[in-house]
Amino acid sequence: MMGRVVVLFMLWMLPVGAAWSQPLLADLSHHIIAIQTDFQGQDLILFGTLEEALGPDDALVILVKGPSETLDIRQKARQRGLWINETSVRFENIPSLYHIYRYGALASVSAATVARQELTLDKLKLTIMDPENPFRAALLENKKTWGLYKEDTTSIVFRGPYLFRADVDFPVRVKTGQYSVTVFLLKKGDIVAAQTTPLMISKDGIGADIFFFAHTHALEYGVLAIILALFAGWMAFILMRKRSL
Amino acid sequence: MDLYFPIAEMSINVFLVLGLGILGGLASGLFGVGGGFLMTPMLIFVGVPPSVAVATQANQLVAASTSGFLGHWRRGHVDIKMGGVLLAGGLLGSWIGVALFSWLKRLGHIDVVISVCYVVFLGSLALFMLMESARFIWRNPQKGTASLKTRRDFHHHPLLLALPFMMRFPRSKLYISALLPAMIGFFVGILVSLMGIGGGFLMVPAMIYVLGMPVHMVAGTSLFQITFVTAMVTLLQAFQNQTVDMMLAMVLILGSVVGAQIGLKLAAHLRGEWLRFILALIVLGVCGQMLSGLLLTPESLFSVVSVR
Repeated sequence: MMGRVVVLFMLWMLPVGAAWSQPLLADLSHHIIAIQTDFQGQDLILFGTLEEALGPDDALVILVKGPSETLDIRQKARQRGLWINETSVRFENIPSLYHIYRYGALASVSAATVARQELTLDKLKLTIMDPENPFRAALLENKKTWGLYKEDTTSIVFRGPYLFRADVDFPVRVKTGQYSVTVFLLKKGDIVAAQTTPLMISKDGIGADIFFFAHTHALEYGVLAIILALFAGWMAFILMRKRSL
Repeated sequence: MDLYFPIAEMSINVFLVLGLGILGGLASGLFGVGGGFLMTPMLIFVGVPPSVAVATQANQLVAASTSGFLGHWRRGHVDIKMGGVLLAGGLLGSWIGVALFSWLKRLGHIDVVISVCYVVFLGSLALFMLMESARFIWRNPQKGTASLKTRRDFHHHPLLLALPFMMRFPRSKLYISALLPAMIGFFVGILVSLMGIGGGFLMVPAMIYVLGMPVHMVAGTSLFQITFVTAMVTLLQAFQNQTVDMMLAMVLILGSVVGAQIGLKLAAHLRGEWLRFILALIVLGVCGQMLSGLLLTPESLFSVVSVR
C-alpha cells in the first residue's frame, strides 16, 4: 500500500521534474483563430526556449500543417483550336497548408530524416513524389501563390542564446479545421526533441452562421435566399416608383 | 475594406462587389436586361469559384427581375398566360441545366462550356444587334424596319402552324402552338443555369421574332418568367450544391438597386438604337474576353480544383 502511494507520488512529480530538463519548450500566442467577416489572414507568435544554445551543426524547424484536403490538378491542351482541360491528376489527403520555418542548416541531417519528417517542401509526401512531375510542380506553385505552402528561413529569431520566437502567419485562404504546429530541435543531424501544439481555425460570427445554415438546412436556406431577394426587388420597385411620380 | 464571404470562402473588397452590382444595375436600368452576363464573368474574374458565381448571380437576378416585373405589371404589360407556358418550359430546362452543370463540373469542362455558350449564344446575338442598330443609326432607317418586318413574319411559317397544342394568347393577340414558347423557355432555362444569366437577352429576341409577340408585352412577360426560373435555379443550387452565397448576393443587390436608378435616368436621355448599339458593344467585349481565353495559350496550363 505504502509502495503504491510512493509510485503514484513519483509519477505525479515526473512531469514537473522533466520540465526542468526539457531541451525544448514552445507555445503559441493563440490556440484558436476565428474567421470573422473582416478576416484577412492572421499572424500568431510562437515562442520558446532551449536548454542549450544551438551549435553550428544544429537547427530548429517549425512545421505548421493544416487539415487535409483532396485536389484535382488539371492540365489544359489544345483541341481543335480550343484550350480544354485534358488530363487530370487527383492528389488525395494532402495538407491544405504546409509551412516550414527553419533556423540553421539542414546539411548534417540525413536524407532519410528529412524525408520521414517532411522537413522540406521537396520531400513533402504527396500522391506524386517525383520532383520533375509537372502536376506536382503545378500544385506546389499554386499553393505557394496563395501563401499556403512556404519555406522560410528568416522568421525564427533568437533573443539571446536560449530564447526564440517566430512569426507564424495564416493567409486569408486558410481552410477551417484542426492545425498542428510542431517544433523540432535537431542536434548534429539528429532530432533530439519535438513538441506539437494544436491550433483550431474555425468560422465565427454571422459568416459561420450562414455557412452552417446553408449546409444543415439547405432547403430552408434556398427559400430564405429567394424571399430576401423578392423583398429586395419589391423595395427597389417602390423606390423607383417614388422617383418616377 | 475586405469582407469575408462565407460560401465563396474568400475575402473580397466590399466596394469592388458593390461596384460590380452598380455596373450590373446600370446595365439593367439602361437596357432592360438583367446584367447577369456582365456580373457572372466578373465575379469569376475576381476569383469567386464559378459554381458559386453562377448560383449567387441567380439569387441576385431574382431581386433584379422582381423589381422590373412589378414595373411592367403596373403598366399592364405582362402576358401571364404566355409567361406561364414559357415558365413551364423554363423550369424543366433549368432543372436539366443544373444537373448538366454538376456533370460538366465533375468532368472538368464547365469553364470551357460556359465560355463557349457566351461566345456562341450571346456573341452571335450581339453581332446581329450591333449590325441592326448601326443600320438604324448610320444608314437608311426604312431599310432597317423592312428587314425587321420580314423576320417578324417567321411565326406565320406553315410548318409552325402545323404544330399541335394550338393555344390562344389574348393579351398578345396570338394563336400559336404552346410548344413554341415552351421550347424557347426550356432552351433558355438550360442556358440560365449554365451561364448564370437571366436569359432576357436571349429570350426577348426569340419572343419578338419567333413568337411574334407585340414588342411592348415582351419585356414584362420575359421578366415574369425570369423571376420564377432564377428563383428555381437559386433553390436547386442551394439545395444540391450549397453554392448560393446569400451575403455576396445581398451586397450585389444593394449595388444593383443604386445602379438601376442611375441607368433609368441615363436611358431617358438616349435613343433606343444607341442603347442597343452600346449594349451590343459591351456584350461583344465580354464575349471577346471569353473567346481569347479559349483561343490564346494560357499563362499556366494547370488549374487546381478542390474536390469535396
